[in-house]
Amino acid sequence: MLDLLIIMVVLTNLRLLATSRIESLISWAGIQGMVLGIFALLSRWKHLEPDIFVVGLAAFSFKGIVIPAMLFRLVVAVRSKREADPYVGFIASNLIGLLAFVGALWLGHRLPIPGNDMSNLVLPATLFSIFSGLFLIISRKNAISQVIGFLTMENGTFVLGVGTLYYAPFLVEIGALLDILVAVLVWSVLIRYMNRAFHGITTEQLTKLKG
Amino acid sequence: MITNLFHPLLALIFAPLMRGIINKTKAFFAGRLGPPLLQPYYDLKKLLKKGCVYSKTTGFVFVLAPVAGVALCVLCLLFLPCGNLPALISFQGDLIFIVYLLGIMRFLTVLAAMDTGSAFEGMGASREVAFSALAEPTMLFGLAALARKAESFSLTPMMHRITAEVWLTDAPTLAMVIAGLLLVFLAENSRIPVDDPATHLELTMIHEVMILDHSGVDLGFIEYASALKMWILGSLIIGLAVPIRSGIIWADIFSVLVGLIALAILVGVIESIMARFRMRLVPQLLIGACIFSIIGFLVQ
Amino acid sequence: MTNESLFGFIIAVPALSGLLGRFAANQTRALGFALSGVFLAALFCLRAIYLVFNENQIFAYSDWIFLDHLSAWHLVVLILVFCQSTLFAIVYFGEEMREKKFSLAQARTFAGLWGPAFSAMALVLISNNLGIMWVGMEATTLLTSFLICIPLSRDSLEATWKYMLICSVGIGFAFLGTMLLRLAAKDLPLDLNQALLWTNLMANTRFLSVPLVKAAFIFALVGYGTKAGLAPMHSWLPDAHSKSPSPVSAIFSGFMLNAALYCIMRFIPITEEATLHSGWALRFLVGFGLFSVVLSAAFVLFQQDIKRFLAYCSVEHLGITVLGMGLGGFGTFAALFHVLNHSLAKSLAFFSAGRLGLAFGSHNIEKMKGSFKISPVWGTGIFAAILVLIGVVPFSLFISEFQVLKAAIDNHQIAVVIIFLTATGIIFAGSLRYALPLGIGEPASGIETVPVKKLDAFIVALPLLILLILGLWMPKTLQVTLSRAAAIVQTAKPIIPHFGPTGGK
Repeated sequence: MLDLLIIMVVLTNLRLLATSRIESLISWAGIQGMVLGIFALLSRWKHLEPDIFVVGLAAFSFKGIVIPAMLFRLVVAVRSKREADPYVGFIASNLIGLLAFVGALWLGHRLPIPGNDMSNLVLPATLFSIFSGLFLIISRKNAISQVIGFLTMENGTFVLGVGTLYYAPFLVEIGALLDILVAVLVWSVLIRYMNRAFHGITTEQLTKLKG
Repeated sequence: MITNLFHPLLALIFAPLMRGIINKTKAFFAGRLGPPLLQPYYDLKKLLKKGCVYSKTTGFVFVLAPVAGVALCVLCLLFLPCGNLPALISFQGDLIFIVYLLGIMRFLTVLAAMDTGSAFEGMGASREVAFSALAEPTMLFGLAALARKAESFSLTPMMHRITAEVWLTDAPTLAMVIAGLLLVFLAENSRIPVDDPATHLELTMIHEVMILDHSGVDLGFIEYASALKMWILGSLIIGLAVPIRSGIIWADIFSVLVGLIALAILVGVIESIMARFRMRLVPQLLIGACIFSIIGFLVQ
Repeated sequence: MTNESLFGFIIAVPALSGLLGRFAANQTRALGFALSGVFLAALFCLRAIYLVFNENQIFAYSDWIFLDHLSAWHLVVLILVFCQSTLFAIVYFGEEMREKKFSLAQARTFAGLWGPAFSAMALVLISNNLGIMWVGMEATTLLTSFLICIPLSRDSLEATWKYMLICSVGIGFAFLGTMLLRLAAKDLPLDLNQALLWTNLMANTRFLSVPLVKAAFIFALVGYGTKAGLAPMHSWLPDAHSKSPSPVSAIFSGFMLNAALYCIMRFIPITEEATLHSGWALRFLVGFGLFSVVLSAAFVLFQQDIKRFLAYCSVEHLGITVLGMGLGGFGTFAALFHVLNHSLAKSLAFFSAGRLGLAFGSHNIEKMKGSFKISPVWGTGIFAAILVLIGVVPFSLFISEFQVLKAAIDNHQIAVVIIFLTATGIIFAGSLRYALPLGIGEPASGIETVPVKKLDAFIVALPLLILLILGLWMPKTLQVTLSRAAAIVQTAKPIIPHFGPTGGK
């Protein structure tokens, strides 16, 4: 069951790579967040302590609901184009994604995790999420999709945290979640500024500073 | 030995029923009464009574294709187990054999369509080939994933080994393969969202446009063959999705039948709640299916 | 005062000053809040540092917060740089206020983020839990990002965007590194709340899973290295430094980079212990350090913007610090000493560049000729700071650079020595080419001179004096502190080096 959820994370990553619409990027990132929240809750369902329950619930609501809602509002506020302007197309993105997943599986098997009380998909899924996040950041021009790339990266690390059943302490997990929330907040303000200054939010215009 | 005959017999008898169930489900969703459940059988009966009309431009391929279609499907059924119902003949590598039997059938249908020399049918043929080129790897990857899981290249032992325990340990692989096969099932049987079997606008059709020129007994054969094909692909899915391996023959037969009926209802529901995709999106869907299978193959 | 309340104040006081500053009635008050918050917190920090010197290690909040010599040393640098920068902020924004360029909204943004940025950096230093350390580091990114675009323009927005994106991604890697370390420690018989504590990890390194520790180190090095501006992850650094207001650039270069480096320093001993002191981790440090030095040597030569030039200089010096760490032994000591020297010199350089930039109305090096004549104080500041930064005798930065070099020679790493000398030589010559006209050239006509003020003179004189004194004579306490801090990074007994008179380079 947990394996299925991890696979769903992998699939949402591939979906994120494949899509070129801002709205669907945001909603799929949200779905991934919800999956992660459920994952966090289910991974410890038998001994669900209050703090883990809170982490799972916070992940579900922050990553799955609050952040997507903020981003949707942002899309409306800056009247963003609906296209994420990918530099890499659908088929190529998927192909690259699949290759990366193969690579992540290979790397994940090379890094043996001590003990065998967790799924051997956790590490590949983590690495693949991080790859997907980076790929989203570099292959899309729209600023919002870069934010989603960052979220995807963080989601990957979250998979590692909860998927291994060896959590970081409660305060750290909550701190990390809050940091991500604030980061999205900062980004959304920044994107509003950018929209005003550059009349658009494609990062193609950010080329003045170099050397 | 007699148990080995059950699955082909079931298929030959019940295959057209699936289409009836799909249509009934769609009618239910649309709030209509719909055609009777046995309408596909009535259609077949009607068609088989009729004579054939052949265009002057067509050759022997046009006559051959419908007959060969049914023959190949029957042949395919001999090699196809479902759940605990074994295949009549099984050997190492029969899963590839089955895929290519279906391939030959498609090849003949396409040739027959081109044989008419009609632009429409040629277009349909080209679409059919393009999409099946994407659907075939999905099937092969999916079957390869199962073969890797069950450590056998033969379908009968493979189906035997996929029990409820395997579902507990390897749910991701099975779920991914089923998802991939389900999409292939929809595409190959020209169902929504890939193709709309009810449409009569040639521009948007894929499969139906290829058989426009067939009539009478030939058309009946084609309809029957496509019903069998639906059963063949469906029983692959049901064999995986319903992991009941009781060993009691009636229970196994019952589970297969119930599974296939459920699949038909599911297809009916999908057709009721979805619209046909734009032609441009169909390859994306099929690539998605392929990705499902590949992930199923990778994740072990 | 208990340790709990002491550390509580260190974090809470500047945060509170930020909150007050956010709603300040006018610009002066906002700056006042920032100033008082930082100085008050600095007093508490001094108290904590004093405790460390006496008791070696202090703990609070069930060991989640702790201070040893390594973090205390960085805390010293933090308060020095922050207090100086706050003073300078008053000079800088005071001048901007006079020119009516500093609006209330900007003042509120500045004051609202300045104190919390202090808190976040202090949190990085005092947390024993590596996860909380990460949270603090990410918080510095978030809090400082809007400090960059206080003068809201296309350029500053671009710089802020790059800063946020690149650093967040980097910090994301660091989080993965932290989590991998958590995973490596899964066989430790510790409960959840004790698992990520640095002291616990250090005490149990032999139970850690070596491949995972190695993976964790790589991710942490790349992640925190991004924030520390190590090449090739430095690309945000010149943009952010050149476009932010000078007090902010000074904080960035003077301390934020070091805070990120400090996080790497916490990962080094764990990795080295787990890999049985094979030098596995150190090789990476040498590589990144040398590459940073070489790359900045290449870029320093072609800069027009003085702050951009200084930013590349930071890449160089962070590279030298990391190189020193990587060489191990005496190099670690030198690297820690270098942290202070670089921070003092670099913050002074940014102060002077910023203030002169206001006077000249430009940060273009060509246009800033003859700064002595425009402003004796700040002209001295920029000229002396650049001289210090390129390693001129008798300032202490030369000493620490020389010590790093000596460590390389002691290790018989001849290739490192040659590359290092070539690169620093290029930077030396290239920087002098900028510094000479900048200091003693003839200014363009029509530029208003800057009156000499006592505060200005103090801000310039203090770091120069410290650098000079430390260059000539190193107090015993400092030696002991540094050796102890270095011993923490090396997980060895402290070696207190002997200092003779310094020779030529």
